Amino acid sequence: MKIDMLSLSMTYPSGRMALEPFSLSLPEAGLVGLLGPNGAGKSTLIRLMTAALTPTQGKILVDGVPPFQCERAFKSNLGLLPQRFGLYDELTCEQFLRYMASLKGIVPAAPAIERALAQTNLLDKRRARIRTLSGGQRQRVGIAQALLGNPRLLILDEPTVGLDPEERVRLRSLFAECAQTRLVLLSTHIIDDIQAVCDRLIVLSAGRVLFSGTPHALIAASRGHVGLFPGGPGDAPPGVRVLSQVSTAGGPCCRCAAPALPACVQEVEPTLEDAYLCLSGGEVTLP
Amino acid sequence: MKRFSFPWPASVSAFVRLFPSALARLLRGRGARLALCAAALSPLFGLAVHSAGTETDAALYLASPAVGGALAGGLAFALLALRILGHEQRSGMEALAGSAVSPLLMGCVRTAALLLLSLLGGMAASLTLLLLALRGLGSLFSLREYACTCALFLLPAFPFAVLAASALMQLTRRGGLALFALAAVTMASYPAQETGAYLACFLVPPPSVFSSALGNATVFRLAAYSRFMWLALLLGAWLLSLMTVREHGLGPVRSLLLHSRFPALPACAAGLLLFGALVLRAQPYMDHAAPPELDLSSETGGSYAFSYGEAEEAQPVTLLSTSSEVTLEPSLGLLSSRVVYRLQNESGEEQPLTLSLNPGYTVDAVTANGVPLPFADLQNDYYVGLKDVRLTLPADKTVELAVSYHGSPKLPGGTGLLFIYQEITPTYVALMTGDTAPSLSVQTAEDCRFTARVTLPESMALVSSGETPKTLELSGGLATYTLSGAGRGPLLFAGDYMTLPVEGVSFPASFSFGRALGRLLAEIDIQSLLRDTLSFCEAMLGPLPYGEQNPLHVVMTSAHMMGGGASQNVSFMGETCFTSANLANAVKGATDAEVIAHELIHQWWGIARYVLDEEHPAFTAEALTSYTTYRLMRELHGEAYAREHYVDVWQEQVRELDSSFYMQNPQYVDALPADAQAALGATIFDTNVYARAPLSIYCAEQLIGTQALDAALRALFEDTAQPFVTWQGFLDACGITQAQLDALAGKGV
Repeated sequence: MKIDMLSLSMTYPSGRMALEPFSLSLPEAGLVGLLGPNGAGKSTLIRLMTAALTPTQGKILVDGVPPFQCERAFKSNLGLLPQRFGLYDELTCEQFLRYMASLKGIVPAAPAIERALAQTNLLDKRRARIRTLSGGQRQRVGIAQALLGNPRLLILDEPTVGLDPEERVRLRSLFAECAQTRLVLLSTHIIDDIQAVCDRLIVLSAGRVLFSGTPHALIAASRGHVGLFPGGPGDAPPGVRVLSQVSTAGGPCCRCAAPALPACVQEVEPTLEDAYLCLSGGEVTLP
Repeated sequence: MKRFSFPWPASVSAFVRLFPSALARLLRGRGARLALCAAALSPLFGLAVHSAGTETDAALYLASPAVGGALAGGLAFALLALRILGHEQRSGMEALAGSAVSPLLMGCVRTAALLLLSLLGGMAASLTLLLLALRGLGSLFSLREYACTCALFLLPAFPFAVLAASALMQLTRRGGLALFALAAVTMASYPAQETGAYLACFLVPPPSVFSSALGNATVFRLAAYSRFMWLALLLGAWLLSLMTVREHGLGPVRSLLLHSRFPALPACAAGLLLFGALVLRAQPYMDHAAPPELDLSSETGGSYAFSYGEAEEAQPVTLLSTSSEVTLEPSLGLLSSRVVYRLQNESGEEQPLTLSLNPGYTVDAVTANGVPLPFADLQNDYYVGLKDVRLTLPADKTVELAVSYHGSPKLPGGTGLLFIYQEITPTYVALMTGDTAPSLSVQTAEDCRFTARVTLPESMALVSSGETPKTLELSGGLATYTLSGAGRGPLLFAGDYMTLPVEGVSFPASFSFGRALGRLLAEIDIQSLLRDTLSFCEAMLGPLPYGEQNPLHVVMTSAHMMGGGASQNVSFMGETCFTSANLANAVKGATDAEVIAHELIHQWWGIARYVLDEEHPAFTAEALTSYTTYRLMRELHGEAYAREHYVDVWQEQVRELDSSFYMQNPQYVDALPADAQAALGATIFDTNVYARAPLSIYCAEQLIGTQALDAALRALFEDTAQPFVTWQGFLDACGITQAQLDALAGKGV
């Protein structure tokens, strides 16, 4: 499912411009990360892509057609986990997935439900009422319903929130596996999730698309702009921005970024996190 | 711009696929189970609070549980609908579902599931109602009456409540606002029977007072019409609200425009709303009379009960006799009639005449001596349930004026469902003189007589005014009777009547009642009450001029007719007067026994002797009848009882009216809305006619003594040389003056 965004922009009725005009294309298969701080416009972009919002400018094309013009076909190929979603607490996991399967028109439902439960490690909770589940288990139920029916487009907004590290790693592998045959869009503010599995990255900040490309390209663009100096943030040389504090064998140090590193700062290989912070902080500007 | 057609087959199959899941999901929820339980118990609520009255057993055990059940059960399902739809929004489930199916389709599916659930709740309530009715009514239970009550009063309330709540929620997307709006609409349309706005009640129509013995087809017809209209309006409103379901982040108006791309949706919504509006406009059961105007300077509060339009009697024209042919179709509630008026025109000139008849009838043709006569139907429905038809009588000395008309009698819009005087149903017929021979604005000869041929189903027993009916023909399940008697036309009642003689008076008298109540009436010895009343009045005032050929008929009419009346040799009173609970309750004061007595006493004051005084319009047959009723109750129950329930009540009513704000400050009356002014006029009328006037007669008794007053009343009754009994005539008969009465009133007597 190829997605093209042409001069897309969104301004809410209150006057707030949530997304500045941009153009972008997403491949038919692959795992694309959508990265940005809170309020960057990630959820707005997702709502535009799922036809839950109508853009105020520009258009989105799914396989060359606006999604609301082929709504039935589009929704039958969509698996969505919104950032904020609800479940029917009175149902069991299995009953809920059966309900969602009927909404999505998945026939036969039983194998699809079985597969989704297995993929999200909920087989032993299939008959548990949703109201008895923990936050992380509820999150997994949400992911399971998105996976139902092997949708061609899988959009996951903050999917690993509330999950323990083991589950997060397991699900990342699942998303990567799914991305081999379909487009998976993973929206998150957790760098580790992006770094581990995404082969493409879109960075948003304050409604602007700052970067679209591979993680390696972003890191490469940040080379020469990230360094290390000893001491604490108070010891920062002029013209640098402290990114993080680290403990080394030689004592406490700070990672920092600057358009041009001063001589007293040791240049280091940037991590994806460093590259993202440089981009969002303006130390790196990309065309 | 490309037009998109509604993809019917795919949407229908999607609906069929989604519906079972949505219903199963609802049934698993606690809220649905609570609502179903509430629905099943809701008729008990109605029984406990007597939501449709206790005047008859059918009112208590059938109508009250049905109306209360409809209100309580409907409210339960409305709250469930608001909760379910609100939860979809608040929980975020709407986003998940919206990613899989169109919000429009999901709205249809959810509402359909709620509707089916509400019907299940309605059926549970119907079962409870059946058990209550079987137990409470016993031998009075009728499967047909129960089925109609369920189908028209109880069951529809549940889905109607769901439609209304869903529509409000879809439109506003705010549970609190939707709940407030729903409560406001429900309260504004509470089934108040006193109002004429029977179509305003969307949740449950007003039930009038259910009859236990003579059927309720008239009430069912009104209810069916109301339900039909509201079904169209609610479906239309719901479809309109469905189109405002938010999609693609659009607001309600833009979502509505977006969904208009499926032309069937706006077309159906607009069509249903328009249809509902047309059904409202075309309602055939109530007339369009405006409330009466208030006139504080009048003793009776203005143009109230005694205004019969603006037609004046054509003095040179006299009605000599009438003959009519009346055919009834009870299953359709229709009457068709041809009345021939034999008139004498002494003027030698054309005379404008006014024919006054119920607004439900349409005049088809008028001829004078066989020649067609043009006429104009003014369609000027006025307060007493009449309209005027104007025509010009030719100058011939003798004219046979033939009027053909047909239709179904309408209720007066201003009096609501408490005074249904005319009914034409498969189980009960009640027609007044104005239905069988509409009045003409002419003088009536003293020896004017009527003859009538009336065709009815053979199964219905006929009771009519005038002479005893003669059966002319029995054929094809129909019976044709000939009726004759003094006056312009007959009064007639028909139904499953049983007739028994009333013994102990010097003139023949009978009592006709609904057969189903026979056992109950025998238990309370109703015949003794009738005998006591008739013999008391005969002893006090003199015998009535009835004989073998035209006996006095006392007739029980349907409970839909509150109170009663009298005309010619028929005294009729509503079924509510005859319930054992009311008649046997001495503490309550045997109120309905008094109503029976009151209506019987009208045979003396009102029928045998007319009471009319243009200078004192509050002095009517009601004053003398009310006073005589007081005297009867004094005889039967003692001085203290009679004082407490009559004199003290009259004094209190008069005091209350005279000290009321608007009587003290009449300059503010004009600021009242028309309905309030009409209500104030009614209060003035009731107080002056039914309290102040009989209180004046009581004061006269205090002045001259009981024996002297009785002698005066007897003299007035027997003085047939005077056409009317007047107030001055009463004072003269008593030998007192108004000033003497006023002085006594000033002492607080």
